[in-house]
Amino acid sequence: MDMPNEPEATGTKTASGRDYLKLWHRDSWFWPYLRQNKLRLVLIFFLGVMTFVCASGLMFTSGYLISRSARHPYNILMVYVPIVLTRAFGLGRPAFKYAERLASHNWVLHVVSKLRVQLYKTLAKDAAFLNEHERTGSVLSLLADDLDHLENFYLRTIFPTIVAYAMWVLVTLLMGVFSWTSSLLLFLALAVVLVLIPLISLNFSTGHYVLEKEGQRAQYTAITESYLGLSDWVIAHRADDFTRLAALDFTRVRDSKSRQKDFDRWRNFAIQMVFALIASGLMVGAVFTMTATKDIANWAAAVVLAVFPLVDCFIAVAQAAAEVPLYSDSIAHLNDLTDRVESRQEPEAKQVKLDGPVRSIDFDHVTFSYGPGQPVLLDDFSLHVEAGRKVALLGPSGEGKTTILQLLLGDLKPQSGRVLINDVPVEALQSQRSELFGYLNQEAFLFNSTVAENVRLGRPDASDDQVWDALKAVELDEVVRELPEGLDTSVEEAGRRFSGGQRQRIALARIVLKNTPVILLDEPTIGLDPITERSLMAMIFSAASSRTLLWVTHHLQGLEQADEVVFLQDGHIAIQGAPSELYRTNPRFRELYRLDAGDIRTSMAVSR
Amino acid sequence: MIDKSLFTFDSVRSRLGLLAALAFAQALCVVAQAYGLTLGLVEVWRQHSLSAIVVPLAIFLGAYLVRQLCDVGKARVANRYGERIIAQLRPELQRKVFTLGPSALADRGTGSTVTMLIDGLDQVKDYIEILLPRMMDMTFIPLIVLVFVWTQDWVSGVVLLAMFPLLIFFMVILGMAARDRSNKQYAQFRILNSKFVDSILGLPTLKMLGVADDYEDEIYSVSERFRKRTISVITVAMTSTFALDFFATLGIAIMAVFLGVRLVDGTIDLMPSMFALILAPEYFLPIRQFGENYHATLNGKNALHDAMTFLDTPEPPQDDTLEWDGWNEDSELTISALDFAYPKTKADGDTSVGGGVAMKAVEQQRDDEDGAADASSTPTTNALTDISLRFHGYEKVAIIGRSGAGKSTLANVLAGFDIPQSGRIELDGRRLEHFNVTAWQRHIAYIPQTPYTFSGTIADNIRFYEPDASREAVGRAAHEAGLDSWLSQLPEGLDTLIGEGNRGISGGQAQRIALARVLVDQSREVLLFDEPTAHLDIETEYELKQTLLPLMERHLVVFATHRLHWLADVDQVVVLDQGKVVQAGRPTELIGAGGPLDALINQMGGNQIDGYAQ
Repeated sequence: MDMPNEPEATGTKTASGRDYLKLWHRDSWFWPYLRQNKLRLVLIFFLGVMTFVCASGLMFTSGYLISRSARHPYNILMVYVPIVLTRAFGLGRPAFKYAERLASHNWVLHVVSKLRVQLYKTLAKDAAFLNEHERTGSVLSLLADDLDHLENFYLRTIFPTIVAYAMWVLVTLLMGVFSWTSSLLLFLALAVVLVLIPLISLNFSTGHYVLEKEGQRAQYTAITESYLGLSDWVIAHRADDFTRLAALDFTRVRDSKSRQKDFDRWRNFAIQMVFALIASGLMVGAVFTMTATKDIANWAAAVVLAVFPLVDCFIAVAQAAAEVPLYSDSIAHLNDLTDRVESRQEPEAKQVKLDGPVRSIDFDHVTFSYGPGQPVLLDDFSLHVEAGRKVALLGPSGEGKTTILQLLLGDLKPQSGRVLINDVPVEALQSQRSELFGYLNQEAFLFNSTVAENVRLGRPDASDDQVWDALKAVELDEVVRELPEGLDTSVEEAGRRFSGGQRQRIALARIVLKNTPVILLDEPTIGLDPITERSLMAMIFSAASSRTLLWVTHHLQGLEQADEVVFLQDGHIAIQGAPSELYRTNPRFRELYRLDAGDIRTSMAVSR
Repeated sequence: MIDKSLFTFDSVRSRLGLLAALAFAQALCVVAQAYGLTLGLVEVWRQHSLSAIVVPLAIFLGAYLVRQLCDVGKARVANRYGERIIAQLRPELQRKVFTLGPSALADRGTGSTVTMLIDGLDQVKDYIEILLPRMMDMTFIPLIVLVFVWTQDWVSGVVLLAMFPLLIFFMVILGMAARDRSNKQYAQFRILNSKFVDSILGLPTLKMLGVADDYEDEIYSVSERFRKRTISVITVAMTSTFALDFFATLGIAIMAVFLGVRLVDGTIDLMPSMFALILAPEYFLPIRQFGENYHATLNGKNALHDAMTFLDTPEPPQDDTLEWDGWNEDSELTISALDFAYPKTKADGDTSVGGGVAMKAVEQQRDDEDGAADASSTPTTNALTDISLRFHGYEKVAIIGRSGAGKSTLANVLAGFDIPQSGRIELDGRRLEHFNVTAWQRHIAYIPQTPYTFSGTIADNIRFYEPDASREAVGRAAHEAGLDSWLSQLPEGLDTLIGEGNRGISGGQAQRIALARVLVDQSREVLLFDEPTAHLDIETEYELKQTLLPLMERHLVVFATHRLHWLADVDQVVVLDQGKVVQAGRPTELIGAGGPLDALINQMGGNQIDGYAQ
């Protein structure tokens, strides 16, 4: 499938400059934001430029001040202007810097707010992506990391570079006031620092970035695996092999980082030497052009000294360029996401309103596989469910039980055949799907907010009484009443405050509150112990009383509560019927049922 | 500012000495560079010709070059040293993880330990690499620069000297204010920031509930609240950098004006004043750099502290002297009056999270209704109390009880991962204090609910206990563990890569690989299972059981489970409740006797289907 296969963008060792340009050409995550809020951006750049103008100006005016003063002017008023300017620049530099930092952070965080909404909206469009539950968690948090990287891209690369380039223009122009040839030479020398060296730096770090990223992933995998399998390592007494894991993959990354750091150091050294040459060149130039009169000679020290504070401004550009591969990678991820989502958008079927309550659900000769070459999960599958029936779907894992639910929801489309509610295709009912279906999966997701907010997601305008009723229906009302802040108690991260069974019941309370006519259950009791499992299923069946229920399960226990059992095998229905009937007529069903129910006497008879 | 544990590392003193020497040399170069520059500028000011500035320029360029080289050298020394330290620490930490064992790791959290070992140590490296040279710079450069400025013009010297304490004072005061403020806001800060990740992770749920669109506005407003908080913290945090900058530039400006005024008076010459002026920024540079990097190194400092604390964690007792050559049909293990409680920190942590009496009541209820999610949240102080058991020969023992009764804990104690506080253990006539005994562990296999498979080939996974096992042995074990039909579907068979980034495997296959692992190593006669089939679907469970039953012969098998059907196949059943053995004996004798086992069976599996009794 076309998942974000990270190596695709970075697989070649050196992405050329053209690759970067191509990446940004079709970008919808980065450039658009630089085009908004232009005034604020201009202000940020202005503040950035002023910081360095003041730094440079301080040395310039003080250089002039003492040069001029050393000519012993008649009185102090002759140097009054440079004195004032020295003070002004001295105060201006930190003030502008402070203001620039605040303004830029404010701007960036504002953009982050918008980026978050954009990411959320993009993901929300892509139902199929969200359904690949296994990887969803880690992929989603990676995307959140990508947004953080973008934040740094603005702050650490874009802003300093723009400020440096503005200073480049400014310095060249100011130099032109004294001498055009010097101005040209200075322009060229700075071009080395601001264009040539950054490009070399970018080229160098691109290769290293790929290598380090892969190495780091290998580190995480090796260490995490070793910890998850620690009990095996301990029992195997392989202490030395285990310890060696903390060295193996690390040397590769370390060496690469070392080389990168060495490169950075010598690069900065080179830049420093360019500045030493610029200063020397200016001094030599001053000998030729500024020694004509005393008045002109007074400016020489000012010009030369003004260069040094600019080192900080210009040296940042090369480092900024070295970080571009990281940021491009993040931008590429986000843009790939957008592309994928947009390519999957299908023309929306014309939506219709369901004619009254749900009467029946039909799978009409449905065939489905995830794509060519993938196993056929459903092969000419037909099932008719009358409203109010409780149907259990069973079968070995990987047999498309969950797929049936996704087809019914309309998240997946069959290759052939139709999925119908009251004879209306489900594609045409997408605008009502949340009113039609309640869904409880293996692990309910609780948001890190209060109990009430979590339950109320089922119906945002529900009153407190209604929330209490829903909690009562899932027998959690007593528990919640005992909590320190009742309904307003936090469920904590991932619902940690509650046990697994309680978390499922809170999710069930949402469905109760929502009061949907159809309830879909995807192995809601997996990982719970038998006692909890039994009580949860009993509760679900009582809450579902008159509604339609499709229940994917891998256990047979509690199955007697269903009206109908459907066994899937190889995409077909292998066994179908009422549970008590099957129990009487199908020996395999009986054997599995007894095994699952833990009937010791019969199992003993079977095994012994 | 600096962690004392830094001084316990190898050859830290010699590295610091080298860095100090380089910083000292650099300081002299800074002075020489300024001298050359001043001399040149004064010559230009005097309107002299090019020849007059050749020597000053050469001094300037030479000193500048050496100075930058010193910088490169310091960075390299510090970088290599940082790498060396973490290259030492990393295996030490890893070995510590091993000696502390799985229980301690679970307590600390797998994720946070991985982070400590990888990201944490990277931060430690940054900390060492930035802090050491900056410290040496701070020690030498301002001092030497000040001495030279003073020799040129004592007034300027006084200005610079006076600025220094002021600068430090404000930096510290404002830094502390900023820290207080951000500490106060930290909790809210984190909640607001994690809310976004939360809603992204919960997006499938939101979509299913049809409220995904409403959440868009929520995301925006939460992010904006986050922005306002961040800015208010940054506003304070940046004032310390501001103060640093402010006093540094103010110092230079004051100096320049003082110098200007006295030059007008003629009480000072151009040469010394320009020299002092050019040196002034160099005086402030080290502390400004330190201030800018200081926050970046804080994480590293904390990470170092974490790592050192972890290395100092007391290790569980281990016995590798006991001689015992394995379990046979006459072997006997007796345990009497064994008590085990989780370390205090864990219990305390749980109650403080719960928040007092009310929470305890809830937890109690949680236990009553659901069985707690895991043993750690039971409020009982002892996880196991007064456990007495006797295992004999190739017996099969089921340990059963509801969730949180202590089944897994008992399995962990038997595997040696948890050390009991008291109790008498006798293994074939030898007294043991605990099960963290090399000789014992060499003869057991521990198979958890989800056995872990490592990235690598299936064969390597099967070879785990016996890395030198032959291909034939591996193939035979795979066959016995029932992997044949799966392997025959794989083009590369036993050489198929599994694990992260490779072919995924199902729970049943993982169990079979774990079984094959045991089969390769014939010396593992004791099998400890912790809920081996709880996660499997009923058909897979049924098939796995058919494979497992013959393999259990000629082994001592201890089986923690809540799947009742296993009771038909065991010789002894031990019923645990709240960490105590409430019943033990042959299943045939206990079932139907009306004891705790019957009560449990009733609760767990008492459902009836029409016609069940037939």
